[in-house]
Amino acid sequence: MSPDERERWLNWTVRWKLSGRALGWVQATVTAGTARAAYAVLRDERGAGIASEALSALAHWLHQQTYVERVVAEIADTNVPSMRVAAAASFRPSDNRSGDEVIWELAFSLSGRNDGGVLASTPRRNGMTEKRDDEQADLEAALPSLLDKLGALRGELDGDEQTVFDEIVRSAARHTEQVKADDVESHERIFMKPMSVHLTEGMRDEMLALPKRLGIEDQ
Amino acid sequence: MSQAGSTANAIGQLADSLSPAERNNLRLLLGMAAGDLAKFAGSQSDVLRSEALSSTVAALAGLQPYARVIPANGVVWRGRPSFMDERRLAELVAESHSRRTDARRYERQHLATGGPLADALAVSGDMQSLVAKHAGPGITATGIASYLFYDEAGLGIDPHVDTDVFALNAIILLKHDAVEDGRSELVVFPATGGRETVVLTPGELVLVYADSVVHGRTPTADGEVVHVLTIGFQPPLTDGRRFSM
Repeated sequence: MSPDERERWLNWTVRWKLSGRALGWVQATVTAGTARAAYAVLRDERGAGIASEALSALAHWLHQQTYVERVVAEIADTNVPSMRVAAAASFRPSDNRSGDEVIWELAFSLSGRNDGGVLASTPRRNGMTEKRDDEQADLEAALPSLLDKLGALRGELDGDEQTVFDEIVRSAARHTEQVKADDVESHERIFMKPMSVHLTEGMRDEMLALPKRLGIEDQ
Repeated sequence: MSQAGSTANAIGQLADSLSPAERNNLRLLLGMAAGDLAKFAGSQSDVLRSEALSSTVAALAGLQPYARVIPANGVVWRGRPSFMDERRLAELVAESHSRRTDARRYERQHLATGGPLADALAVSGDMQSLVAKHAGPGITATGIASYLFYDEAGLGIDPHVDTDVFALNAIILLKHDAVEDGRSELVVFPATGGRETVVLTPGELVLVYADSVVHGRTPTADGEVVHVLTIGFQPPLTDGRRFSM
């Protein structure tokens, strides 16, 4: 604790689970709502993803145990290895600087406070990001209400507008079927470029059924 | 106002009342519609589908949540970056070949994660300076880089919009072994209508608002090989927040 008790100073040694051998350290300075993280790994242990794993674990621990909503790391803009560590731990560079260092940050959503930490940013796995079940669930949960609103909107459109709207809906359903047919592997959880990676089986079913649900005839 | 314009406006007005998750679902639905309406092959064009496509791309552009107005075709810059010298290009091409064996198929493209060079480039000062120069300040690197491979006949990707990880997408053509029978190209569908082909030469980069502007890649011909590196960025939103679902 700082002398004025405004900051908590926390330090850990990073060790292999099995042998207990020291690999490096992580530390955090915690103030209201924000924690400032720092990390270092012994020279011979670098390049194995230890720093990013430790930083990610530290950030989650801080979020869950101290309720911070934001963890930051100050990184010199010439320190590419440290940037890669931060990026791999889902930190992002902000517009803010501290001297010649860029402040990278990881923000947490409020909903994650009680369920083990839901990242507001996208977690990354070996260079490929993976949709969190929680995020996917948010999208899936929001789909029925959107479809209800689209149904209401359709009712307000005039004849020609509705004809165009109906073709959009039919096309979305057709392409949903196409993507389903082409999806040769289970990629639902892999976060890639096209928005279609958001489609869960449940969402696909909703999209396929949308024309019928809105009373749109086949063409 | 055309039917396309009025339908797009109606969808845009609806979007103002949606939650972030509902807006993302609407983007998803419109992106799926564009994939059918603008597909490169096997689809008959008619007036209604043309109107529907115009409505879809205009509505998607209207959904863009950014503090700055984006170009109608989404392209903020294209050219060969000064940092992309022959040596760097050759290194990235070599890395793309090494990543090809781990690539996984999604729809009609093969995708692999970035290697050390691509990952470093994704968060490099070079890239961030280029993005800031051409797209403005306040844009953050997502740190996500992926290799895309179109190296079998008929590969490509139907018109679509990207996830927010690639909201502003730096698409770098690394390699293009073209054949006489055809040439696969990047195509964008501007909010104002029509379609534009973006012809790149190896080493060139196009910076495009890929989550708001429909884009795709036309199918490869037999024997054609295309390697692309794609790097994600996120622009500042109108209210200063980024997507958080």
